[in-house]
Amino acid sequence: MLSLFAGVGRWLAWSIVAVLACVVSANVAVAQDSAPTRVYVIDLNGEFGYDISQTPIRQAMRDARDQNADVVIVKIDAKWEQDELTPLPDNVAQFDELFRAQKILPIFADEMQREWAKPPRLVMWVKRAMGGPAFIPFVSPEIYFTSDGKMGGVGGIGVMLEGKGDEVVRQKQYSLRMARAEGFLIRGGYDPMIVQAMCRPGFLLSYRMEGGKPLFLERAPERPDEFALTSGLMGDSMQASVRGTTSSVLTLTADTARAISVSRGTADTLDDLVFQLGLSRNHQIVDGKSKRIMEYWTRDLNNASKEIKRILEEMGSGDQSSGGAETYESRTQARGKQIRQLDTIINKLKIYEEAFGPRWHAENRVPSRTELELRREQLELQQLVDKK
Amino acid sequence: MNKFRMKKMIAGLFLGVALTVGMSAPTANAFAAAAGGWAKITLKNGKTVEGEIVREVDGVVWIKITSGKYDETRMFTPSEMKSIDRDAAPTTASEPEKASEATKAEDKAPTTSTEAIPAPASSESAPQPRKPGVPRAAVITLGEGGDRDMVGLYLMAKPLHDAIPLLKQEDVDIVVFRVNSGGGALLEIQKLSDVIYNEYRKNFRTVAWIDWAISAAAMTSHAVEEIYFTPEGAYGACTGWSGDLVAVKDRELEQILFQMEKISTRGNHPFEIMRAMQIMEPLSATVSPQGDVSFYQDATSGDILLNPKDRVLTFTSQTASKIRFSLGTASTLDELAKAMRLPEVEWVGVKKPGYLWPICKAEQMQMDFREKTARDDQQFTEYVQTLNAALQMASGMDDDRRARLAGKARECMNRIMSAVNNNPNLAIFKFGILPDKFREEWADPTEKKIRELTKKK
Repeated sequence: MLSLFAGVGRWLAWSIVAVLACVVSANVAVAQDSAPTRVYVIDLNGEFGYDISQTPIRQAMRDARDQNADVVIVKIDAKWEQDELTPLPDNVAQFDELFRAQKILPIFADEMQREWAKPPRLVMWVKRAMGGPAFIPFVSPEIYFTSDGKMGGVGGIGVMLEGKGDEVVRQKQYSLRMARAEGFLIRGGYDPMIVQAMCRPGFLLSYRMEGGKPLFLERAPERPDEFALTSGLMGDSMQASVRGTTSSVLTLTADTARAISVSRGTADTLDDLVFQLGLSRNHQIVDGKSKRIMEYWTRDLNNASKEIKRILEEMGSGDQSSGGAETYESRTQARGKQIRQLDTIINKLKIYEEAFGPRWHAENRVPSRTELELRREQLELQQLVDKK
Repeated sequence: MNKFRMKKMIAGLFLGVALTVGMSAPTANAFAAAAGGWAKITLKNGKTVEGEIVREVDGVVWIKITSGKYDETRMFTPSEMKSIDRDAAPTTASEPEKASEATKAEDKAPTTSTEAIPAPASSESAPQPRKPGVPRAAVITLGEGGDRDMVGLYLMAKPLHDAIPLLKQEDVDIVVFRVNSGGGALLEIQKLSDVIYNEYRKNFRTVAWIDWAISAAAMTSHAVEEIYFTPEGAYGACTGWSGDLVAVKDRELEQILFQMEKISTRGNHPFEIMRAMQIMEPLSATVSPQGDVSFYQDATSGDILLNPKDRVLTFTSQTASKIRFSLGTASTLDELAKAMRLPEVEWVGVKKPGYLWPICKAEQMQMDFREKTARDDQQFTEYVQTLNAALQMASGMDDDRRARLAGKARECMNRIMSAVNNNPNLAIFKFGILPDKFREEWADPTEKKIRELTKKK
């Protein structure tokens, strides 16, 4: 009898343990399932190469990493305008901004692999990616568009160096540029013919769908289910040219990009996008610092720019050589002040070198760093030979 | 029709299953015998190669073969080889003698003692013990992109030569050159090719991992036989030019084309590839089911159009891989090891944040060299202009002021001398003077001018 009770008791005890174990494991599973996907959003707004630059983007990505983001959404809405009132047309060719994009792309490629224990799912969301920004989305296999999204403005291969030097050297320059651009698409898993069509006027490209995937054809459409992506002509009609549109090179819109599987979908709001990413049931938008990082960067750049111009104006209004000052002491003092002013400018140019490119220097009439350093040396030499 | 046909038998590199297993493939141990003997290697593609085995590491064999007047050392991985007949008699009696004499001559060549190697300034790595049976590999960067990538300024033969003892000190078997350069000066190509071919390839399994090898950087990498790409990798656009996009022409062009034909032979690459990268010559290719690649110097004969008429060729990772110029595509060290058929490998060096690979002593040496060159390059104009301004201002000044200016001029001159000592090519790029004429044509006359200033009037 005793042994019977002991047996039943043992059976009951094991049953209770087993049931508890099931409950605990179920809870763990529920807990694991319920951890929301952490979504981090980076907005890239403003002028490419100035507001949109590697330093703030790198900082934002590091913040995303520190916030344990599972998904990083990079929304690109770069300025594409001549001035505030005049937008640039699609047929403006700014291919060489590729080399500026090249400074940014590794942040989403090698650096992400290197710096993240578990790299996040990277999603590119395109509103305005014209010129250099057009190359950035291709770094990710997941691109989405807004309904008015555009990607292009990088034509010019085969014509941009027209009239300069020898043909074989021009071809060399085009060839190496195209290979770099194609490389970015290959890395992201896209057909490099797409970028040929975006960059090289006269490159005729069509496609048709086969097995749910686009099949690209380097010729005009020959069947009803084939569609042209470019005209194959070197230039555009006057009509198109006046309207700022182009068919000699490819500009990706939401529809075209979707049709050739560059875009995975069209979303106008973050909620839409999150839904399309399959995260709407359980996600959390991380309250990261990216917005502040971007804003502070632009603010600091603008302040530095103003400060540099102010100092240069101040210096311009004074006597450059200080030779006009009456006494040795006053000349020494004047030179000392100028050297300090030059040091301030040189330091700011060093800090913000990536944003203050040749165009910025020309537009703001700021001499190059080398020129300013030479001016500084000149002042030191003058001080060296000055006498009381 | 202008049609040439060439074959490249490299199918085995791709088709091999593993280094150490397989019924038909010889094992690594089977190849572990001492180097030095005459042997006949039967490749998996049916071809045979005969010569003296000069080196063997983990099944990889370096064999010196004689073709015509020249000796050439070729490397074969176990997956390429079907068998090695070590008892084979030489086909021609005189050849092994020639080969062995050449090897002896090489043995006598002076080598730098490992004890006398200056350690790179910021090297932190301590020698690591070798894991038995595991090859040791090191990554050396040829250029680092951005502003530090110019061949002839940041990528030079001398620091590469100087790095070899450090690689030996760290017991390295495999050297991976990670290439990231947009090109540069033609004058450095032969020197770089010589260091790679005569020194690296004879001492190490030498691999190029191409990210951005344009113009002179591609011409440099061409001496390497075993080439891999990153997914975004690009290789080519080797047209020589100067000034405002003016092409190298006539005799000078012929010389460069011929130079690259010879370097193509070193890398065992069909010369037509480099030619299409240098001039506007079309190129197409066909890959047979056996993996043999035939090249045609026109746009239509081959199945794959590599370079249309009136264009210059640059490979992407896809095109290079299609025609087996690239043996694999890798974006990480693990992927590279896999592509190189290394089941296990020890990457030598210290792991540092921000780098995809450990930094070995030889790599640290390249980084230090580039760092100093960059500093000097940036300030060179300042040194020169200050020096000139000081010399100019001194005329008409009294003794005291002249002495002060002479001091400033000397300070600038010393900086220039130090910069040129670190990187002799700065003499060419900054003054247009050959390095061996620099003292005579610039340093001595400048020294004289400064001394004049210190003379009391």
